[in-house]
Amino acid sequence: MKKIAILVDNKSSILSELISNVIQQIKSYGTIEVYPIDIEGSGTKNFAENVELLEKFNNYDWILFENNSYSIDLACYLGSHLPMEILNNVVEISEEKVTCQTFSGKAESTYSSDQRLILILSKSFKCKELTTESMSIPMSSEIAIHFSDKKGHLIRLNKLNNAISLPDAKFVVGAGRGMKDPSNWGIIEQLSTKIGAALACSKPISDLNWRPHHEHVGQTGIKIAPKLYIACGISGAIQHLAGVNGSETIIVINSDPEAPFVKNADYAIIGDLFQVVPELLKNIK
Amino acid sequence: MNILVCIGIVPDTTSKLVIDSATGKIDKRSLTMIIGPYDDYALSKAIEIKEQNNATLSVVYVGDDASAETLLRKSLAIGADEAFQIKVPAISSKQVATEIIHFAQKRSYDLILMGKESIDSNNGLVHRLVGNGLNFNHFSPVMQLDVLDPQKVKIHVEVPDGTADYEVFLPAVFGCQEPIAEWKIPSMRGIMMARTKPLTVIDPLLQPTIKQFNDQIIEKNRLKRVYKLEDTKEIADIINNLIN
Repeated sequence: MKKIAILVDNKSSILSELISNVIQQIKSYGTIEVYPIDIEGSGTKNFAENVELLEKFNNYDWILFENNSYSIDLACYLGSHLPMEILNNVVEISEEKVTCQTFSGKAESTYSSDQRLILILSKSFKCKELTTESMSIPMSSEIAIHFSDKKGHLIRLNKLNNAISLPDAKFVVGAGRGMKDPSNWGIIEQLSTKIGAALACSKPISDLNWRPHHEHVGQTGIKIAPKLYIACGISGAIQHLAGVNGSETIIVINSDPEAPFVKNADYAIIGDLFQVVPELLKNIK
Repeated sequence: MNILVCIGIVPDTTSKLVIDSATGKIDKRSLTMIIGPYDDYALSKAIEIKEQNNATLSVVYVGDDASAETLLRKSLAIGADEAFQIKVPAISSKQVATEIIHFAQKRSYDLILMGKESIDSNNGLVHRLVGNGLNFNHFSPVMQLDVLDPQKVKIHVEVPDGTADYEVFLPAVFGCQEPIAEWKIPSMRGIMMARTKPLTVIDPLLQPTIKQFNDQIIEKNRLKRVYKLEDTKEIADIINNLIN
């Protein structure tokens, strides 16, 4: 029987869909305790001595985290101080092995789960169907983390204005060189607003300064794993595909039936995006 | 100012991955190996800082890839002063970080740069673990970096709700991503000079301990249907189903 701890953000009062799913899948392997913890603080401040915290979590076989940049900071803090290995991008957990996604979804590596591990769950974790049985895991009391100083002096925070954060977005609308000119982005913005999607672009677009760099999705930009990704006028260079492979469903709009993205999408529509997108806007509810 | 850049060696993005039936792992012999693209950005930025601030620049690689010497010579050719290989099979992030921490503790670095993640494991853990191990300030992914004075840098970094500018005291370790610098290509003169620059192979502190089984290649045949322009309504229905 394993001792398992799951560390969740103390700011959210309910368990996420992912965590609920994971608990259902692994609860027969041992005892599970869920701890709310100051995950945001771990991302912005340096850690002080945390004897109590480290002693507490040194008792577990597995410590699980959801994947966001702040929780990875905390996972690494524990990993630096406890005799445990850390695995990221975990997509499957069983009694014998842990599977991690590699090569942006093109491959997977498996490790023995019979060792003490800190596991960071991928957004592409293979969730099974949720049973209707209600979650009977009570939250343990919060464990305090001690911080020393801020990691740096904040000069300026540029918040994304009422836009949806790209790495965490459920839906994403991306556009590429098929847009022909930055002044044509109006229909893409309308489509993203209608769907409630974050905006993305391909590398040439951010290189041309048509769109900001933080919208660049691909091998050297941001990686996304939304439920739905709609790519408009993006040919689908392998570097772009590497950033979007984790998407559940991909719809591609492209005038070129030979574009590599067509073969790598779930659904493709061959046509002029300046005709297709307005037609979609009319028909999406 | 002393700068250290940590590089990983990874298969080129366009490589076709194949499993070696003898080991059950990805067969690296058939692949073109490159310096990790993000690490390459970190290295390019470090060279710019070195040139502007008269700094010294070392490169370290933890691993036993066959192309290590060629790629470390390349990093010397584009401007690094010396290169080190800690020769051991690199299996886990913690193992690699432990080697880098041990290496850096014996020297004195003000700034340690590497890519925000490798393109094979996509982990992004090593820079965090190195920051913890050395007690350095840490940020990632850093997109702009300017040296203000020998003790302080200004960075532009992605944060969960947007981007932010920070002034950070050195020593610090940063995970880098574009557009921090443009990739550099070695010049003929650089290649000649690299031949006489020091490249040292070091024994590891420890052997990997994590138990790894095997790798699998994931083939996704996504394509379900290709539609024509006049079928746009059907696509709209698919979208409606997915978003509601």
